[in-house]
Amino acid sequence: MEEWVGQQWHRWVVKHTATGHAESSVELADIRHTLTALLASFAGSKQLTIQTAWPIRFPHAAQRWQFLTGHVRHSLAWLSSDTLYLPAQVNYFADAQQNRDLYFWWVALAAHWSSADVSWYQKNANAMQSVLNHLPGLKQRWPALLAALLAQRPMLSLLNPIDAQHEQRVQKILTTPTFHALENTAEVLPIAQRFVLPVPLWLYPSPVADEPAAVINETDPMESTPNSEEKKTIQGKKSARRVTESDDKHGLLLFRLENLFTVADWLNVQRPEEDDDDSSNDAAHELDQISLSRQPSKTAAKVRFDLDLPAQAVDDLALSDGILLPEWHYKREQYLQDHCCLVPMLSREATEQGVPEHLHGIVRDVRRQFKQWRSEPIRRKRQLDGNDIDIQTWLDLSTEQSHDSVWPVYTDRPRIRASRSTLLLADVSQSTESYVNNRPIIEGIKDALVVFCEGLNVIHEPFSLYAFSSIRRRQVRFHLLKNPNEPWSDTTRGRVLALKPGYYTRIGAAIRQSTKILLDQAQQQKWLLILTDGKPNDVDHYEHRYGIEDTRKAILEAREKGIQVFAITLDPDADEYAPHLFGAEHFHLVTKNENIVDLLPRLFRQLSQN
Amino acid sequence: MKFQSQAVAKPYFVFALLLFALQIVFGLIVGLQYVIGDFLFPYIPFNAARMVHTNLLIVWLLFGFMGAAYYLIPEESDVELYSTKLANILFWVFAAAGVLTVAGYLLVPYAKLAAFTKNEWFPTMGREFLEQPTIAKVGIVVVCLGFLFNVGMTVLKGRKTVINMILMTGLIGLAVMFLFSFYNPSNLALDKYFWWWVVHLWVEGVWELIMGSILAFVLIKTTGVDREVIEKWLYVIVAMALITGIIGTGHHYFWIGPKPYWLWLGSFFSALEPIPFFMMTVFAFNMVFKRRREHPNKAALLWAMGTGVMAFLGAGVWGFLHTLAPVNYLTHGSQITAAHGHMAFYGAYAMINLTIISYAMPIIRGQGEAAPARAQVVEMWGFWLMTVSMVFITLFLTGAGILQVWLQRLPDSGDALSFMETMDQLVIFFWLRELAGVAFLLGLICYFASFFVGEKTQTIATVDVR
Amino acid sequence: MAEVFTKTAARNIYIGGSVFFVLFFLGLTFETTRSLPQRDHRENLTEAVAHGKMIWEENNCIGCHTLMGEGAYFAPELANVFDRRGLANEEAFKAYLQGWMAAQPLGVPGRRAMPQFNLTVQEVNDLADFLIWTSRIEDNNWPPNIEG
Repeated sequence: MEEWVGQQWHRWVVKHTATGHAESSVELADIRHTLTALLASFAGSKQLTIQTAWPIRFPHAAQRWQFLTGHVRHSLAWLSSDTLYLPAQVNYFADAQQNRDLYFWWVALAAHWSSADVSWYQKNANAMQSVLNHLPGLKQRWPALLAALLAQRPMLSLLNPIDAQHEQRVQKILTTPTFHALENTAEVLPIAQRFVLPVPLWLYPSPVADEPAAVINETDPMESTPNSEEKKTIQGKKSARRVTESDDKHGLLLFRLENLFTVADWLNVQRPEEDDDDSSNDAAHELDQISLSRQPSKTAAKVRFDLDLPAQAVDDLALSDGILLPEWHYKREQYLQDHCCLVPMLSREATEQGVPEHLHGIVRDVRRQFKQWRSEPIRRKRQLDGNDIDIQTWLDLSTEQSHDSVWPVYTDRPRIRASRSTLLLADVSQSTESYVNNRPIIEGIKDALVVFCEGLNVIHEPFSLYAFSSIRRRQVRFHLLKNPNEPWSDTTRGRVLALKPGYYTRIGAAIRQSTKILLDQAQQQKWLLILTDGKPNDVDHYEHRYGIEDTRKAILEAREKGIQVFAITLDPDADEYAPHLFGAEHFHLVTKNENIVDLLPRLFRQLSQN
Repeated sequence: MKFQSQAVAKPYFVFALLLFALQIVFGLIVGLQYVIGDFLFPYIPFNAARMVHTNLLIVWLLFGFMGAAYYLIPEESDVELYSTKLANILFWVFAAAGVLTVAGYLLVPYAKLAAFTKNEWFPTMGREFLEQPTIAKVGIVVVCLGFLFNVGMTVLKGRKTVINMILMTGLIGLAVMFLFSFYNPSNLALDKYFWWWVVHLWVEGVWELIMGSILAFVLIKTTGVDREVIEKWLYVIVAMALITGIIGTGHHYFWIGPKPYWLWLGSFFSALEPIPFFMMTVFAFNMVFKRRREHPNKAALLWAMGTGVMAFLGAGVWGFLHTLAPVNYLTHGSQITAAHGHMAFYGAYAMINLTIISYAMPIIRGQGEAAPARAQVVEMWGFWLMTVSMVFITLFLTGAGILQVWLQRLPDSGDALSFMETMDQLVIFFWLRELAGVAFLLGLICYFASFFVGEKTQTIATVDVR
Repeated sequence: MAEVFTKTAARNIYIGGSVFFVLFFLGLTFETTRSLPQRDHRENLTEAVAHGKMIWEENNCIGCHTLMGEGAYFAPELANVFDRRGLANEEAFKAYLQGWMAAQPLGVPGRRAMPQFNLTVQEVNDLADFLIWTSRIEDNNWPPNIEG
């Protein structure tokens, strides 16, 4: 409900705060060929192509009524290492000639752009200087353009002191591009909280990844590449922090456009390969659509009238509207299609974390164990032929009444280790808040996961990590901790350590999604390890027999598709249902005396042996 | 503390305890006036002292509930409180309103207070527990609305757990029921009918929801038991509370005008009212015995279990003793009522507030999960002294009540003693009650002292280095 | 895997039960308020009676006395004081009350004391009318005897 209100407000605000001279606008399409030619001639050896940029939101210091005009989009030009992105339309000035000049300026600046390691302000200043020196035609029309640009700058009196200083610096550079502001003066600008009003003339860094990122498949948002994952800076705090640290010499906030995108935009609009008009328009349209319908942080509500979920502004980030999954109804003996909505989520609060202090010792041990284990040759037992005798099997068969003529009593050492991909699915339902051995269960699970992943990581074992909890069938929350292709890093460790107790336990849907992910992996062996602390149960009918049967069905489906499923359960009553669910040999009940942190790596090695 | 904003609970708790202390002082005054009839007359006549005693009770309990809500709702919802500023402002407004009201009761005769506060424009004064001037009542409503807005926005922003949803329901119910205090028809029967909507539907209705959710919160935190188990219990308890308590209101409608069918309905449903209190006791004991962690705050656990027991005894058992219409016919408006009232209020609502304070204060004060062991021992002494004293107060008043019924109510007209004559015969009980009241005060002092008991200090030997 | 009492079931009982009994109570209230005028002899609720209730409230009589068994237990029950002191004679009761109110406080040492409220003759009469009306409310024959 409140999202609808938010959208109406958004549309109204955008209509009323749009600034721009529509009547004197200039289209990129009209002069594209001219510009391409100019770029080629100016740039010389540099290979630059022109592509269309889309308008972006740019919260800046000069906004009055920030909450209103935060939605205004700016058409800016960007430059990446090999591409110049130009807006489809420019209408900054009342004079159409000046709008056109802006295009020429951009092309010229791009051609004269230096790759020296100086601040972005300086780069623009140098490029402007260079253009004014080499292109008298532009220099002639420069004063008028400068006047128009300065007319648009905000009044210094309206800004707070720090923003005013930055603004002053910008204006100074505009008026005197020879102003070698930064390296040669002892003056350091204080760190500003927001960017200055965008300067239409200048070239901004490109927000688009230089490496082509795979278009995200809607049905499987888990399959994103590492690059796009890293660029997904949801809050912007992370990259801003990194940036200011590296630029403390100047005290300027170096500019990273990624700060401004929401995840939704990012996932859906990454199309760096396109360079024809139609698709660029599509991109712009797409962005508008996406911003209106799928922005979790702008139009989304600060409160939510749902009886279970926190407000979107506070909740973890949903990465898509949801994947519909079936559920098995044991009485009707059929699937209920599209019955559950699984929502992949990313923690909002996760920060990058190193290995926690209290785990240093165990991690070291586990890493050593795994390395040692990996360096051991694999021995396959019960073989019909081999180099050594498998004494244990021989003893077993001797004591049995075996009528086989041939006894498989050899061990063999195959050279090739079968490739394997493991997916660990952790149950973080609200019962993990309760205590065991004087600690909340969730803490034990997090420790176990971190230690286990450290071990797997050191032997380069491919694995992926997810956690889940559910609120009825309308939201099975599937927390992305580590994708199969993602490296294990501080980021992924941070996500694991940010896990919190969730809601209920609709295991069936989570298993089905995990199956899908595993099936997409290229490795020969696929393992699904489930870490749970209770029975399948949810607030609605998903309880007792129904829940158990659906979970069992999901496990059977996984097995049919060649995935091996093993469960580690913390529920002391698991003996009642776990054999039926997982199979007598395929689960382990963690007893009071066992510590799951030690147990997980050990179990993994044991499983590999069989 | 999980969230900084939980600290706004501190002033509420502190002020609640101060008002509690003052309430007991005035309790001793009225207790003495029972036996020395003109004690402090005409400066503080009995009705003034009693008004202060009862109003302070209600207000300190409300401060306690608000503090409890400010503490536990951010933690349950997993977000910061919506506005700590608003919480602080409301604290001062409520405190000022309370202080002014009590001052008004003590400094001027009630009729003058009524005239001064222009009661005639919108008369709501002069009913038991609702003696506040109309303007003060308006102030209370404003504070409640602000409070509900603050915690409501917090819950909407964050997670909606069973505990905070039931707490919100209880608090909203509290505010809504209070609005009936503004309805004061000139028809006494109607007046009384709706007066009970404030009083009964508070203490035998929505306040039970508040009590249940606070108890559940403290138990989850101190025992580490699976939340789902506790939440299921909570649903059952509050279900029983409302199912029995709503029609149970009828046990106040026996003798004030409504038709006789209320005698049946009221008796039947109110006889079942002990059930939720019984369940709370079993619930508390069960959880503590099945606990999965040894929480250092033993005092809080003691308070939690004690609340269950005393609430069941005071509200459940003593209530049941005189709830059936045939019995009530004889005991209505006697010392039995007073006996039940004291133990019920103390056992259910005073103790649940002391429970949450015992749990939360060490955390808010930065002492960690619990006060130092020595402090807890002193606190537990306070618990036992107060609780046992209250049991004795109740027993003595029950004795008085039984004798009163025997002398004043049972005999036919002509053979029965008059009220005043009966009171003379009950003097011994009232003296004993006063003595138990003094013991209660000692327990309270002990309880307050526990806040100032620190860690075992180490003596540092000073070495004279020359 | 026995079907035990689930949380969903508990929640439903809570919500369903509460709603049902709230509605039932509202229905009973409607019935009661409809039938009350007969029982309390609404027709006799004169200006004087209403004014008398106002005086009763503004002087906080309930702070010491009980009225229909509700109030403080310091001083006698007054719903039937009309019967007890007026012997069901309105004039007699009014005269009694004038004298009684004027005489307070009685000044007996140690006896529970009643303040002087400085009421006018009219006010005392209205108070008397209020108490008379109250005594006539049909309240299932409470109190058990004349002492209240």
